[in-house]
Amino acid sequence: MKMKNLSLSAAVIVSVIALSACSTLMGKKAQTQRPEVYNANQPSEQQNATGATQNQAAAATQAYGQTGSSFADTSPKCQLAVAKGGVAQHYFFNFDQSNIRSQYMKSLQVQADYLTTNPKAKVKIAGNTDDRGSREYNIALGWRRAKAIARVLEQYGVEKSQLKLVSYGAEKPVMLGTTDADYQCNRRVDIQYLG
Amino acid sequence: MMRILHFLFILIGIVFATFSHAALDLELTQGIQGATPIAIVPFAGQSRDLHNARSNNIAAVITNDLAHSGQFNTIPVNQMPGRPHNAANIVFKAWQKKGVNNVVVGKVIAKGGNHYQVTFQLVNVYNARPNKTNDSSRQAWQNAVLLQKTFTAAGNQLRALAHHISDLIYQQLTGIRGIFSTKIAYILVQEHNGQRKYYLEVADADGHNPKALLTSSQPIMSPTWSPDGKQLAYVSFEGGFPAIYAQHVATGSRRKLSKVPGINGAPAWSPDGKKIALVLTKTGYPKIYVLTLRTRKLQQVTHGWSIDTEPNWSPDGKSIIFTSNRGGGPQIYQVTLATKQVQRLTYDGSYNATASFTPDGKNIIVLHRQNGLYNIAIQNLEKGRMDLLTQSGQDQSPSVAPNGKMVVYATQYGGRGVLGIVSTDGRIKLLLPAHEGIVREPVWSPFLNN
Repeated sequence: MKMKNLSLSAAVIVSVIALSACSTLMGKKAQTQRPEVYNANQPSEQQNATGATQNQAAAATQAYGQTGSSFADTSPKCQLAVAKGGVAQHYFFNFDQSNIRSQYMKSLQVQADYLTTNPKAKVKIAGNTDDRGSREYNIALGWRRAKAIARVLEQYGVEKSQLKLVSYGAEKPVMLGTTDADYQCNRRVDIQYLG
Repeated sequence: MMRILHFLFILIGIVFATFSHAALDLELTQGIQGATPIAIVPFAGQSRDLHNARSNNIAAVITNDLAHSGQFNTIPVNQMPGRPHNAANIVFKAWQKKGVNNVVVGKVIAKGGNHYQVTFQLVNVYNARPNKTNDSSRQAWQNAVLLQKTFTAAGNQLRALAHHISDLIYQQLTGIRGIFSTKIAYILVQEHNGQRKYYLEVADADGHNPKALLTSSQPIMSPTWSPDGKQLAYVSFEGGFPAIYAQHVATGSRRKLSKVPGINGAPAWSPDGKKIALVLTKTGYPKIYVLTLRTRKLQQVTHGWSIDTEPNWSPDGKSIIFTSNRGGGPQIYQVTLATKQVQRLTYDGSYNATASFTPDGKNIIVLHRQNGLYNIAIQNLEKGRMDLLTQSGQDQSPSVAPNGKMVVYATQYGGRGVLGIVSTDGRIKLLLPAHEGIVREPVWSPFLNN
């Protein structure tokens, strides 16, 4: 019966961590290391660790992401929670705002450099908000954040066709608490390289 | 390999079975002073135990319905001066002495083949002729019967029948149409082994008989009822990106209404059932569109660079209210569809969102933020005055009942997302705590004629 097949697939799926980017699936192995391990001065270490092109891109840019100190904006608890979502760049935002913090511009330029030199590469830019207020308004606010990041990449020469935007609003929080630190962790855009 | 993985990423199940997880339990936290005293006597043929709320006991269901309306004070069985099953057997003075205004009596007679005949009478104990209140002669008690009806129902219809009788009693005594036979749709989120699971569920207005229409490993949002109460439209992130679907509640069959790049959000069914308002980012910015269902024609209704979202139709279908930050922060605006003219409706505070009309078109219910506190408020459109209905500061997603008297909304209780209900005059408050998981985004059904 159809129901039985569904629960079979369900059983298989539960054993696979459901993520929507193939690079995150492969990057999962590298991701078990803490982000602090990536050294901004030695991206070639990551290149030797795995052979996959997408992972190279992700790891290389991950390193420079750390240089941009986006994680300095958040707590270690947040870093861990966010890292569970797979290899990605993370950019954090102020309450009700979609302005990009100036310390992120270098990291964004690095992403743009990679994307312009690899015109077939694509990224998913996902906007998120904290849990307060109207859920649909938060979808729109998450969209604005994703759009703001995309606009910077486009200004650095990246083609629109390389950018896939989505807003999850408050629907996919990585921190479930109600402290300011929890809310800050959720006010975030993630850039993920797509397979 | 990739294709299989991508297929596996889409985990959805369309389920009709009733979930074994417990129903939402209604708790009255504030009723009105001077609520009308009423006694619902256990019906002949059924148990005298009215505390078993999950049963098909008609008197128990009616008692819970009327008590939870906040407008009635229901008398416990052990305080009843008798257990009559017929108005002719009521000793009026005894009930008057107990301070009871109205008594409901009835019978459930098994007819075989799992069919039952149900009779009830609503009696006002002060309406019997004064000089004959101790007399059980036909004329005395006949004056006192306000309402009486006989029904036939199958065993599994008894609970629904009880809700219908509650509606009749409520309307007879208050003049307002009852909402005991309506339903509430909502989103339930549960976490199992670190995996989040989302459910779109429909339950009775008292929280019983939850039925899942959709289960997904990706978020579901913004359910909206069709005006005939037969379909729900909603946003689903199955596959990782949002799309709007319309699904038949009875059969589970569904169709995709919108899946374009960007936002597909905030669907709202028009009062004539022929159109759906929704939010798309085709222009790069979230704007309101109207989709005509039969022709699939799409019309852009708002323009510009602001966030426009949360469309909701006026009862006459001629305008749409929506949330927009075109003035700086989110406020409520109204666009007349014929002229595209936009008018701002809210000026109180710096954040107003999720607006909907009361059925009489005279008020809007909104989510209002003040000093960082999110509460539900009602604004009278003529007077322009806004009044708070809730105080928790953690509220969202209000939805008005079809009789305009109650608002269901999402709030926090005991550290979890639960549903609350408040009357539009703010006097009556209820909670529906869920037993497992987080409940949010409730939406009240229209009156259902079934």
